[in-house]
Amino acid sequence: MSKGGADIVVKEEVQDNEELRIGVYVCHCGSNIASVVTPSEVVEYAQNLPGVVMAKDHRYQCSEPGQKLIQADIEEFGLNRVVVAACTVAMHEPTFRACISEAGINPFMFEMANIREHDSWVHSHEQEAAIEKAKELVASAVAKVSYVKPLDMFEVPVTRRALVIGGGIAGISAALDLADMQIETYLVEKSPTIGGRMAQLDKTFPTMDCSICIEAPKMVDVGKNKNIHLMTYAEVREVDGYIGNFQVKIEQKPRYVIADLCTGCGDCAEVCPIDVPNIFEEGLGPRKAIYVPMAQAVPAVYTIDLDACILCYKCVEACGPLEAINFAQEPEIVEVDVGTIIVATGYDTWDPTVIEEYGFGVYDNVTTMMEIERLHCAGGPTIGEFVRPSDGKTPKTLGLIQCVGSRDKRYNEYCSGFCCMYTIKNALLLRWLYPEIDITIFRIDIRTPGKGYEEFYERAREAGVHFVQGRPAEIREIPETGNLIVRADNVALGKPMEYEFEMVGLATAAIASDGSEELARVLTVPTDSHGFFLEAHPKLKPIDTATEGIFLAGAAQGPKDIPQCVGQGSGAAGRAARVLSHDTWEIDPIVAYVTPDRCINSRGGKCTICYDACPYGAIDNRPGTGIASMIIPAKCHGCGTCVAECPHNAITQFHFTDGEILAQVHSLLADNPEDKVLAFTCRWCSGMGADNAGVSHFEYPANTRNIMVMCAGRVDRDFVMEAFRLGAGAVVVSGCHLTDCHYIDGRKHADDRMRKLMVQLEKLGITKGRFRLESVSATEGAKWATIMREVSGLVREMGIDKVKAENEAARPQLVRRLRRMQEAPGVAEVLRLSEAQRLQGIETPVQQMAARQTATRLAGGDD
Amino acid sequence: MAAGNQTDEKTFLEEVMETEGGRLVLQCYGCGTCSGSCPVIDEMEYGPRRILYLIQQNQEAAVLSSTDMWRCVSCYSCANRCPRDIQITDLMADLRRLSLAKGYAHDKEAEFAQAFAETVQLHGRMFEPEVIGRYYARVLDLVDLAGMVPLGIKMLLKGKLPFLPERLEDPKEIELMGVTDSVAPKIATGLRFSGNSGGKRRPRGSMWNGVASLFAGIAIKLGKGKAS
Amino acid sequence: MTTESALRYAYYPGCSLSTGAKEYDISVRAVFAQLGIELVELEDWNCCGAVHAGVNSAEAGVVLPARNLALAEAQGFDTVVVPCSGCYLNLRRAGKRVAADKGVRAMVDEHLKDGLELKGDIEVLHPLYALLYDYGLDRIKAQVVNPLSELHVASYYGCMLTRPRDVFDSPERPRGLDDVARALGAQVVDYPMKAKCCGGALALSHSDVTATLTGNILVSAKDAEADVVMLACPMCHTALDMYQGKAERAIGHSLNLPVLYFTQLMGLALGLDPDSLGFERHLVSPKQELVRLGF
Repeated sequence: MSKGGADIVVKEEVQDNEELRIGVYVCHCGSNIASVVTPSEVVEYAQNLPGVVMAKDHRYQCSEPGQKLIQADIEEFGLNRVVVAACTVAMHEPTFRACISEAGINPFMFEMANIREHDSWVHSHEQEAAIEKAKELVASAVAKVSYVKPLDMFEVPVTRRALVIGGGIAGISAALDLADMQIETYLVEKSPTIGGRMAQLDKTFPTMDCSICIEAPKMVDVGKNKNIHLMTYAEVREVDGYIGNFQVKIEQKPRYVIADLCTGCGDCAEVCPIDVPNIFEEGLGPRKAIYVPMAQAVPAVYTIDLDACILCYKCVEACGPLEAINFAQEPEIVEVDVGTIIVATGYDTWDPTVIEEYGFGVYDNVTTMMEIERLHCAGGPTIGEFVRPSDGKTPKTLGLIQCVGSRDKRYNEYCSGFCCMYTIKNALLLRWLYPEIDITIFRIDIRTPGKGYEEFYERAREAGVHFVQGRPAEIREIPETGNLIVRADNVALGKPMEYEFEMVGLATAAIASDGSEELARVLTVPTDSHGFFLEAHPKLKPIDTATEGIFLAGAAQGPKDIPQCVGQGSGAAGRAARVLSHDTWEIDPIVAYVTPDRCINSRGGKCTICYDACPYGAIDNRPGTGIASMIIPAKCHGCGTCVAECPHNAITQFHFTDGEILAQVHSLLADNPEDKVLAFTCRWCSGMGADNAGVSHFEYPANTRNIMVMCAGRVDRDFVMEAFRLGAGAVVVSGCHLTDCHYIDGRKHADDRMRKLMVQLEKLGITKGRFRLESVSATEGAKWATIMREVSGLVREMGIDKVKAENEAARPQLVRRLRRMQEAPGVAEVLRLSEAQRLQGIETPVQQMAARQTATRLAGGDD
Repeated sequence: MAAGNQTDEKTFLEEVMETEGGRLVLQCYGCGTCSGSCPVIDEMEYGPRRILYLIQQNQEAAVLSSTDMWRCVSCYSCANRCPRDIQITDLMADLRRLSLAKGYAHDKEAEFAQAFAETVQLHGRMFEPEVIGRYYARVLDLVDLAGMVPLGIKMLLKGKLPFLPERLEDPKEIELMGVTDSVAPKIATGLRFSGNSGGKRRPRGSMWNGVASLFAGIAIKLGKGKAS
Repeated sequence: MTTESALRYAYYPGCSLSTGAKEYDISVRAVFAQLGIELVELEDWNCCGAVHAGVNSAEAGVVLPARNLALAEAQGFDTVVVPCSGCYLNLRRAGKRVAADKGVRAMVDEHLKDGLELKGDIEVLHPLYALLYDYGLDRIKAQVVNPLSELHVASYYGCMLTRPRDVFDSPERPRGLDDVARALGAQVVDYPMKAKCCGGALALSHSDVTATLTGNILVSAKDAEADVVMLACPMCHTALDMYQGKAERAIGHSLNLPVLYFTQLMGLALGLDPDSLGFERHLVSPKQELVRLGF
């Protein structure tokens, strides 16, 4: 089923003897870079780098004038490669690639040096060192870009079909928009009906619309829409492929009811003898073993819960001639090809039992806010009569507590966003329905960010709802009455007080819905530290994920209210349609390729190392046949793990060849290597984590240098050993957390590979801590800064002499083990050239600094 | 100049943030769970919530001269329930130490703490009669002492009061443990002001301290009081 | 800890058990011996510092309890059993701090005499948890010869047995002592104040506070129709037993509620001689209850 194969070939124009004409651009980024790293100094330095014909600076390189400048220079100076020293690749690599492409240069003849997130934003306390670092990062980029080859994006066909996972309001909005664009859409929902959390609500804030009343028409639309295949009681089990070409396996769970024959008449449920708690009613009301979760279920098809069913077959009898019940049904795997996937799996409500001091689960009349919703909802278990659990009487006093499990470091650190509003809504609603109920809301703060929300809060106060600033410390029960005593420090009054209520409601946190972790693994989409699906960029790409072609909508990405869910649903449909409106989609050509005569299988070998390393099945491996292994470009995701694993250096990766990476290593360690920390970060988690450190301005020492690879799995042992051979102070290899790797198990292979190397290096006398293997996620900027500080601290504590001595002692062994590296294609040339450059005496940052200091001293000034 | 103060450049807030209990003090958002949980809040001037706020506002004198931390019973209810995971109970202990070090402390419990510390510093183990003796010598509260006599007699009759102290084999080990690294002066080595480290308050109980140390000295000599 | 059949621990009695709370010490040793668990008292142990361990020096606050862990290690143990809840918390917490931070470990070693250092991690267990998790409730139940079926027991946990949150029991609604009571055949009485503070820390300097807090706890147990209160900490015992008179005056209510150590009740149930468990040392005499139960 290879959608790639022989017809997709990466075109590589060989231009071996082409003269290097590199243009270097140093961005000020306003004062973000310029206030720490003086652009003119970097420009002056860059002009002297080999291959650079011109260097300039600009206030905002990414702006239109900035880009036009580059394009004009390409024309005027005949540039054939461009380096931009500015922000992170995550921000503007596509921008500049497009810019130079328009001017006629292949977009891969481009490299960025991050002198913002990795430099000016984290080294503001070491300005001089920050400038030197910027120079070296530019030199590294120039070194790499000197070796890159032009590559063409290759195109894959796009399957014009969409998948939406989750049938809540976000998923429904996305599906309807896609359907309106005549895009065939599969909407997969794991429960028997769509509707999600919104269907459980009574009224919505701030309009006080009846929730199911405004949602049901949309649900019905979904059910009737000819462009939507609605699969309820189904779950996505496996996903293969890439953008435009996902192969999805969906498990249709057996309802034991034939959907096409069931009319939803309900005769079966009427005779069913079994009652079990209905999750839709938060367990407050019953449902039968054969059931629909709610009256407005879409589809209106019954489902049999086999765990509850006693197989009395009364339902079969009642169904009669329709014969819609079939106990022989088995789970069915449905395979669908889609071009894009939208994740809209919503949220769950957190169980507050662990906050034992509140007594949920112990005291009858302590409830959750969702339970209260169901209790006053006309379609709820008490037909809208608001009563309390212990005695079924309407309470005269009601206490509502905010931030239960939210804003709490012990449980969920974040604010759940909508609880202030829904509690105020419930309070206001109950004041209208039952004017005699006295209601008090206990809060730390009140958060009303949306349109009309503050005014809604005002209405609640006007309606006589009491507000106490003070998070309750504990709740006790009066056993005789079932009433509750809430003890809270009343911050306004300045002393603790006790309040008696007949019933208490807890506004519990919103958490990632059950099954998110598993789904994230299936989709290879990362989740954040709280379990919600992670967006590609918190500000500019809140709907995209790190995996191209997979988008997020709704609370699956983080708690949000209905208008936000609807907005994101439409937004995700738009992002998906953007892909699906094309016949083909361009795929990054940063894929691996095998040099056939270097592969041992071409000589009859039976090696499967590369095949074992690839989680995408992208390698056509034929051990024992005399045929070399082959990469299937369309399936290759470009992690580079196979490249690093191959013991014969037979595989390399476009745009990340061993030679190119080693050129960067050599460049960064050319001067004063003993003082330096060389860090390999992956493009995804760790790279973004390092960026996050920059965005958060977590300072760390400026003797750190970054080299980016796509995945930690790409980092060859040889790179690390070569770094130490060249005299590095320390080396860090950092990737995603083991279970979050963007390339599934690249980080795990890095782990296995590097741990062995760590032991070997220690045996060679390299102090423990000079080589570190780390996992840093995109949100762990603080962790990145800490690691950099620790390693830098160790190196500086040891001192240059000690580091040098250790490196010297290890060098003979390292040289021996690195012999094979020189055989890898392109590497020998790079090594030769960088040695030649050293001999030519190209000025390095350290030499420049020394020269300047000497000049100043001679002039009689201070250093 | 308060002895034991590490540096004059650090603010009170910074000092607190360097303690084990006060590391996260800036995280407090004033929810009041701590004060709501505190069983002795009625005995306090401020209560934990306001103490944390005052620390955030760098109000050293208000915090350290209050009696709040001396009324803390170390029940850990606040620390256990704090949604910011602030170790309030440990913070209270750190505030006790700071208030003594800087000479602010003026509660009876502060005297008890010193009496306790002095006794342990001498013997390596507790010795109730000495602690009680030192305590009353410091607070000079004869009425209270008289009120304790009936209980004391009952305890004596039940054999709950030891006559002789138990000690560590090597008293130098106690010094080594740093119990003596304090700013409150060593009573056993002579007549000094009690619980005072900068002349901020008038000398108290110096004569009684002498009596107490005499008593302790006799007890030590009498006891073969070695550790078991 | 060692194999299931031969548990052997270091034993840290602490200052209170050596003097005012001798009955706790006696009963712990007797009960553990009866169950076949070896307890070896640490040689040359020092005071853990109680509430004021760090009142003069933050380092001493860790070193005072940590020295005892170093002694346990030097004397060949990997677990130390600590009956007083206050000492238990101090030693356990010191152990955790040392294990988590190399700097703290180095600091501790600096303050110990030459040749004494804390190299490894010593487990610190309260005897209640040693019995519940290492020994096993079922084994205890099997050895009960005098089930205390006529006794309504209110377990009192105090503070440091369950707080700060640890792995053994709930800090708000603990059940360890109640489980033991049930295993002994007794009737368990639940009451809202069972994990609230007795104020024992202020027993000398602000005894009125102690009296009030203690009174509230005792009256809550009494209202729930407890015959006795059972606890696991000598400071709490001081407050609930020795200060019961003051408590009665503070709340204006007579109490007459005997307060016993859980090991004393275990001793009774396991068939040890009632006269050997130190009941005569209590200020509020349990004699009436003992007689009623037939001991």
